[in-house]
Amino acid sequence: MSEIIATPTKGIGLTAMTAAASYVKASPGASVEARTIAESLIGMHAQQTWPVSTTSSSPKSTAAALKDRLFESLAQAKIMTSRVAMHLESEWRTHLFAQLDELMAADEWHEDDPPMEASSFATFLRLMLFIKPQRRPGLGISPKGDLILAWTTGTDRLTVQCLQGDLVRWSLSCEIGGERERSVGEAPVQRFPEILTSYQPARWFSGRS
Amino acid sequence: MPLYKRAPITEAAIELRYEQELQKEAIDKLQSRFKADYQISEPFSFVDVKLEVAARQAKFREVAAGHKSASSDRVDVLLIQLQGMVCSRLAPYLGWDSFRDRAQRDWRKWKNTVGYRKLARIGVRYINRIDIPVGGPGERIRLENYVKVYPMYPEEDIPGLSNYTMQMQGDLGADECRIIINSGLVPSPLVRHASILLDIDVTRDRAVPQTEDEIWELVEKIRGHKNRVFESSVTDRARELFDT
Repeated sequence: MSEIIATPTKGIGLTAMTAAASYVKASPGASVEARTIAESLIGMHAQQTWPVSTTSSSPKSTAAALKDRLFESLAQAKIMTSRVAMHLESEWRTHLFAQLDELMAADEWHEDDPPMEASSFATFLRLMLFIKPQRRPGLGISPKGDLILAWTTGTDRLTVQCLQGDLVRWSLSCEIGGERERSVGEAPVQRFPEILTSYQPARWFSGRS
Repeated sequence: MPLYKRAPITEAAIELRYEQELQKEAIDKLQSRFKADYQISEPFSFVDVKLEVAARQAKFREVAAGHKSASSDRVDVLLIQLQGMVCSRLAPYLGWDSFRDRAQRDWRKWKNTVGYRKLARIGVRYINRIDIPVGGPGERIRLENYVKVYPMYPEEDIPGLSNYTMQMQGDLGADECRIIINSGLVPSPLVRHASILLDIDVTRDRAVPQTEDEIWELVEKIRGHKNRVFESSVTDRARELFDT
């Protein structure tokens, strides 16, 4: 019997096993998983090469640099989405990419604005796959590059800011029993559905957007 | 192999590797040729690390390796390398036929661009990630409930693993192919899940076919071997996850 003990995703790192007599490189791959495997086996061999993706390092104007940063941010988001694409409906993924393309269009950005943080997008994906809302949120980006999600139903509003490290910061305003309630907070993604329960989140998440 | 609703494939790759490296000019020509098929193109390189233990030095050298061309959604990828072509599909995987057809199309265009050169290796690699739902931190998962490739260890001394990485390699015993299986735990991209990587790479580097028909006949055979190994490496309980 071989058991593994589930541990929280944060903090898990790969540890190379005892070195094999001779480590053989598999066929090249383009995915994050291929790079993970190659890096995790690096300790098995004295000399190792692994692929890195580079863009030109020649000096650029500030405007060109912004475009490059947005391009890289968008690319990272799409590659990260690919890693979980088997758990996403095709239509959802297509719509998400259209939203991201629009959000990251260079002519909508100021040169000093930071692009979307990859860690924020990672939190977003994990949140979406965890709560599985039927209605897609509107997307925005905070001044610090965090992805912001918004659901609105009538006068009821839920806004979620996806922070790095699997954290979300929310604010909501909704009517419960004829009274308006407001709440703000910050919590791990894992706790968020439980926190929302008392606010009847189906008002935001159910139905098609 | 059955067609799963949520196939755990994170990458499928077909590699055709040359005996001798291409020149940089050929790489640039290929990159230009494929611009119409792939919207994204960026150079990529390898970092070569040499550890000189006696001198207590590590030398890093960035080696230009080629171009990475990709579709706008970053899922269809073509690696244009000095050693040859890698045609790759990331998730979502849409089936063998469309993937193989794209690889054949790209190889035909490739050969028309650089001409015939002797192949030294043909490989088909599928990287799978099996995402297993868990109740919460500390819950124990039995690897053998999901995969038949896992480490055995003395349970009385090691109560449970939190991490492992393994590589196995050997002759496949068919079609003069060799097999590499990489497996291990990886950080799961899903909340309250554990993820096992099952990476199967089947290759041939002896008496490598050189004609178009023979190359793709071998690729089909290799794919069949890969499927057989995959199906015998996972359990019915894992298959239920793929069909959810």
